[in-house]
Amino acid sequence: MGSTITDAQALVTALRSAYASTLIKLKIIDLYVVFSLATVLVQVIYMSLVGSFPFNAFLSGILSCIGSAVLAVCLRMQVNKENKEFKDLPPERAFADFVLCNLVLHLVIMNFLG
Amino acid sequence: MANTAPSASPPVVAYLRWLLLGWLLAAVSQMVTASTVLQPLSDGDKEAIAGYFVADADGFYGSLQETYHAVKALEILERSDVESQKICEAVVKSSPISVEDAFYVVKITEVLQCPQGAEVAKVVVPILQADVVNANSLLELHYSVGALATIKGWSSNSVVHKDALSDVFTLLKELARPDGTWHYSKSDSESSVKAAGLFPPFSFPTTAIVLHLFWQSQNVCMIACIGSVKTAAIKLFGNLESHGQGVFYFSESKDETSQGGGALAATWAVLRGSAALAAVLPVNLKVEKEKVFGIANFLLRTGLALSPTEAFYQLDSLSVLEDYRPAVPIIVQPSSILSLNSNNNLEVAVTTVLGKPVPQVEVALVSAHHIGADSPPVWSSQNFNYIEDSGKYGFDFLSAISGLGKYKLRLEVKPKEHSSYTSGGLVTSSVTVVSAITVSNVQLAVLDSDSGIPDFSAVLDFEKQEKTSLSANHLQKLRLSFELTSPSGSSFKPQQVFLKLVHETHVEHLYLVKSSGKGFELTLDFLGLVEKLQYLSGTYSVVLIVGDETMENSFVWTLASLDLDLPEAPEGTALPPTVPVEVNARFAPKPEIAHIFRQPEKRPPILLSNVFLGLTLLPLIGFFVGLRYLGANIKLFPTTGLLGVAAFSFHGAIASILLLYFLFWLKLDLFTTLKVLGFLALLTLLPGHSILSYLADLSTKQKTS
Repeated sequence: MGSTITDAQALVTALRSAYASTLIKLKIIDLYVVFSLATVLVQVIYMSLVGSFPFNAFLSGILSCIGSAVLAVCLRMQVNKENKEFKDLPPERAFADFVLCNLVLHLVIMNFLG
Repeated sequence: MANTAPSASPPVVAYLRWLLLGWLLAAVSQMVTASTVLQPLSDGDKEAIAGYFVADADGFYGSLQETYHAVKALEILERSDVESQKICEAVVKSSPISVEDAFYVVKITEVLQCPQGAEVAKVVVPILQADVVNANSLLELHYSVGALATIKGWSSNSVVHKDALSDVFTLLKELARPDGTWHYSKSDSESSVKAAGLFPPFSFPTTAIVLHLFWQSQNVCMIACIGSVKTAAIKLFGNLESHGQGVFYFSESKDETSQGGGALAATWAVLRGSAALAAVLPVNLKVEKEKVFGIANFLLRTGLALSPTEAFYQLDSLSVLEDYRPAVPIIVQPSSILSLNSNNNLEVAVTTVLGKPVPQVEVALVSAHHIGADSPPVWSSQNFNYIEDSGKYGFDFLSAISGLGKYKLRLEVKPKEHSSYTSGGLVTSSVTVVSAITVSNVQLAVLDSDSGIPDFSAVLDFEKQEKTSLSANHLQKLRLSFELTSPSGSSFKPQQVFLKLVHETHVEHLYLVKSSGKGFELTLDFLGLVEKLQYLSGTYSVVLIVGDETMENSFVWTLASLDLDLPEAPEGTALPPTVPVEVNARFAPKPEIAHIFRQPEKRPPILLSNVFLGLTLLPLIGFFVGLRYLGANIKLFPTTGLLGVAAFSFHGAIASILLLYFLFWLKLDLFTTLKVLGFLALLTLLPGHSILSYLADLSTKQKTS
């Protein structure tokens, strides 16, 4: 029992120090993802309190947040210089894709919101 | 025609007449398709029409015109309850001022054959003579000349001068129109503002009278004048309108000064006028016989007249048709039902339109077919025999008939040589041959459901209309079987064969009895019918209903009274209330349906929603705080030059798209949004491309450098 706690503590410290070395750009994107997911959480708590009527509004709300989060993760993957997969992809291009996809997502969201 | 007693109806308003005419013609066309046999005015109808004319205290029937109508109509109906003496005295004492009153005074005197003719003439002649000279409309002329011609000979000073007559004739020729109709007055012939006052009828009696007077004074104009009048008359009959199926009539004139009355009045006027003309002309007025018969069709099929005036028009027209010189329509009525049992002859009655007898004619049966069977005609080209002193013609039709049913007859009536009688061509009618059907071998039995062994059975006698009583429970069946035989020996299949079960609370159930083999059979299994019978136990009467149009003795026969024992209704079944079946209950208002609208969904309290709205915005604030904490900045944001413009417009365009989305959520529809979005996308694309390519170049330069 005690060893696991100390192991967990060690793990967290290691993660923290590793994370500190990431670029600011990536940290911004991470923050954006956290923000989206926090919004989802708030919406789910609300839904559990008052029931799921109107269901389409609920769905569009959480889809918007989760969709944004997913797109942000994709952007982070493409912008990260250490990622060998997207070596040839200029980050500006990734950002443009991110903007476009977000706009399309939000159009769909607005339509579904009703 | 309808045989209803009339109520003392007030005069019909003019516009109602149009409605009535439309309805009448619709009804007529339906009636005509239903039966092609025309019927003369029956005694019942004559009684009904006579009831319209109710005399008031001084013997009159209203105004002078109405009195004349009443008196003439009652004369045609051969009624003797007219107080002629009273009316004559009153008429003589009345001092007519207008030429119309004078005309009716003279006419009443003529119809009632008042002895005070000379006095009447003395009073009336000055008015009439003055009007003849000063008349400038057809109606006035009609009154004055008509009255003068009637009272010729009543007194010595009723002679009209030759010059006045020739003036009258010139006026008539002026008012004539090429298509046989006439202008109403001289002022009309200049301008056609009054839509062509069609007043054909009044010119004819006038012309006839004028011709008659000319005849007396041996005027030379006669030969030429006659020709033009004859052509005008024949052209007038070209205006005859038809409503199809052989009904012809004249339609109402469009002049507002016309006396109203619609098609009946117009038809009456033409008939009266042409009859007067035909009486005076030396040569025959040629009118097609079918058209005359069509007019008779119209007069007899319009149904009962609705007012005294209409009654007068109808009666007077029919009396004109009784001896109309161009053609006299005769009505042919064959009998419509023949019974094989009584074996009577097919009889045909031939009368005038008012039901009076007609001199002997030749009646022949052209053909008789069985309707529904594609067989050759049963009879063809047979002559009827005249039955003495009855005006009827008989023929032994049934000698070649063996089967029941409807037969279509085509009769031809040939009047004697050179006579003007017309039956309107071939007369088609149908005759139904009926007979009494024998009912035999009627067996009613109650069977055990499983084994089929009858627990009770009875054979009932039809002649005595026997009734039996039996009892059954839900485990048994009821069986009925019987045979129907037609006189030819074959089994008969009627149109209606039903078995009815009537509960003591008047709840009825009908069942169809199907034919099987030589007869009819029905088995009612009570086990399956328990629910349909609504679990009602008790006494039922079992009634057999058999009927057909060729069956003389269709019957409703109570076969038995059945004591039926059904199980109790199970718990929870909502039985419909067994109300007594009242015929009119079907038409009573139904129970009202209270509509329950969908309840709106429960929404959370507004406070809670607002709290959570705040909570949702909290992460956003957290995001910005986090950004600040991370040290993110926009120091590299280009603010000057083209780049600045591009950057600002890029972000501005994205912001505007988001604003568009917000508006889309609030009030826009998708199509507008997409249109604007397309435009804004373009706006985003161009600066976006430029700024991002600049940044890309910047980073590659940084890499290489």
